[in-house]
Amino acid sequence: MTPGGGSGPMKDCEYSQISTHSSSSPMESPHKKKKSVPKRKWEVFPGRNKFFCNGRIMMARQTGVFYLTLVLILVTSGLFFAFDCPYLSEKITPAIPAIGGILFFFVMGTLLRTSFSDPGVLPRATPDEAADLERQIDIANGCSSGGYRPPPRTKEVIINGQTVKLKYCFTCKIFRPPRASHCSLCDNCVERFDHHCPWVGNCVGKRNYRFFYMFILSLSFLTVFIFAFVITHVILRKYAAVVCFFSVWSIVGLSGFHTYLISSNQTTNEDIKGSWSNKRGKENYNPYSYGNIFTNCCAALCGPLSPSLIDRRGFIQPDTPQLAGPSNGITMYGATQSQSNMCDQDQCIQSTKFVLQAAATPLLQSEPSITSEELPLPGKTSISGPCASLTLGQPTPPSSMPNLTSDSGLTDIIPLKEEHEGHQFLTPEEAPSPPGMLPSGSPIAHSRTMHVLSLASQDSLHEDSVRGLVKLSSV
Amino acid sequence: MKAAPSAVGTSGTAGQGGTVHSLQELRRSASLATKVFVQRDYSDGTTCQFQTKFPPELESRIERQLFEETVKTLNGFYAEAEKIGGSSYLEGCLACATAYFIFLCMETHYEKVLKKISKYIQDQNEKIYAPRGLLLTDPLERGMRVIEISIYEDRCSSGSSSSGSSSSSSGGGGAGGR
Repeated sequence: MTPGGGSGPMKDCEYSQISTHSSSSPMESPHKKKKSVPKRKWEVFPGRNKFFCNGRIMMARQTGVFYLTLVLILVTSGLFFAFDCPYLSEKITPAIPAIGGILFFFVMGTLLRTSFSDPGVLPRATPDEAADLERQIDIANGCSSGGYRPPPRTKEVIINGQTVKLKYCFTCKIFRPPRASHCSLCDNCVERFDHHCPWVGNCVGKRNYRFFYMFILSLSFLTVFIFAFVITHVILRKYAAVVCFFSVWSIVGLSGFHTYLISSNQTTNEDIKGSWSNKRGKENYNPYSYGNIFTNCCAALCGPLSPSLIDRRGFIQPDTPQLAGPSNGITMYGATQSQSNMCDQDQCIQSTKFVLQAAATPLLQSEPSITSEELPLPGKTSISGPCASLTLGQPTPPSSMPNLTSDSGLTDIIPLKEEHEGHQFLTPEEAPSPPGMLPSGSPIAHSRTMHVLSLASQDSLHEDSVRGLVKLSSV
Repeated sequence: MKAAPSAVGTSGTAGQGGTVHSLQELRRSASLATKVFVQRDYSDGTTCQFQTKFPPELESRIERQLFEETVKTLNGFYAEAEKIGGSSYLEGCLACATAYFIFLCMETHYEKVLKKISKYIQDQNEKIYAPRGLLLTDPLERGMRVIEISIYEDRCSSGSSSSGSSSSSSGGGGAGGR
């Protein structure tokens, strides 16, 4: 559509009209548009996060439970300060509301820090990086392919004498650093991933673990403090009152658990999977531990705080390579992209659930007992990762979106039992690794799932995934 | 055809007049040929270290020793940033005592070292890499996953030969200076 120089007079008019719209060349107008409205990086962030205050605050998409946490803490503390403190400060000492106030301030500060900060999200690979990695993997694999997905991409690394497997993340297109994991709820890879906490409305990872720990520790003190003085008040006034007995023990128990994790330098994720437990073998030990409890505690709580890698408030440079849009976890490995887009939401959930249940039943018999601390996982939310990457081959018309968002709300699914105010441990889904999927449907899907089966046999950590399966199938 | 990474834009604007000139020249006269990625070295755990293995694509562009020195210095900087010792403990305890509100006004030790690193990379680019038609990207801009080295092809052959001679002299000067 070059301006001017047309053939007939009518065509000349059309061409001249077009030329007035765009100044000189087609490249100029989008450039000018971009310059007039510079975008910040958080506006195009590929993960499933919510941003506030122009990118300063970052949270998970589901924030309902976080508001509940806030309300619980504010109401309980408010009632304490309003009704108990005047009496107690008179009768015993005014230090009680003072200490209570300091504790409350500390609890709120650490809670907000945990909830609003970047947990240590790893930015996704730029297209150049991803292409380079693919090339290297091709060379390593000997360019096999065919039409189906190749074996899982893993790298082995020896850390302090212990062999650690680094897995390739299909969504972020990177090899995850050790201890990192992909959170299916936030759709991000997070460094030193501990767990996704709905109570604080965010993931807990490398950058906010110490805030999280301080939050639960100070909350334990606060609840014990309030509990003790309410009892005192009750005794002094001889009134009968209803007290939240169970929540105290849940929080205290959780603090104890995380104290143990910190002293052994493990993440919740590693503890649940039993990555470094002696049950795996006599040779198995935690390569990240510094050897003694004191150093481990200091490193976790007082070590250097690394900065955020995602630069939320930075402006997008016009010549910076833009990351690929939120992919559904499939690489271009000869597989048909359209097929992955055809994942109908409900069908996907149901078929995945069916497969998981079918797969988990024989495995349940050989499964060692699972600790009672983990609550049943909400199946809908954590299936989104493997579902998108597996496409159980039902040739459905492209109806709903492939991203199975958790808009149904964690609050609906998580059983809010009173006696268990403790934690929901949502084992992160790692896209390439769910084992034991049964083949179904069309031949392409069949061959793909065949590869998934070979995946299972090759994956030496599939025992952990089995535990995840068991949890999922129990929904 | 020019697809200069963002590092060029940031490092091109700062610095003295003479050194900026070479980076801008690079952008104007060269076109991006390929990118080489130096991956992380996890053999020491989760600390940020990069592999010192010399990429084969740089064989003809830069001396092995210079490249290794750059990577080793960067590794040293990152080790310093993540060092767990007396000062980091102090910083951590002070921050904890103030319920971490102190981070709103104070810059952490890590951030200070990152500033040093970005200055060092800019310096290296100006003195050593740009004259050879290469450009280092700060790993921070790539999520600390890789050191991205962009290889530029000179459009004019005479320019490349002259830059080759100037690079050897500047490389010698740079090495001597350090």
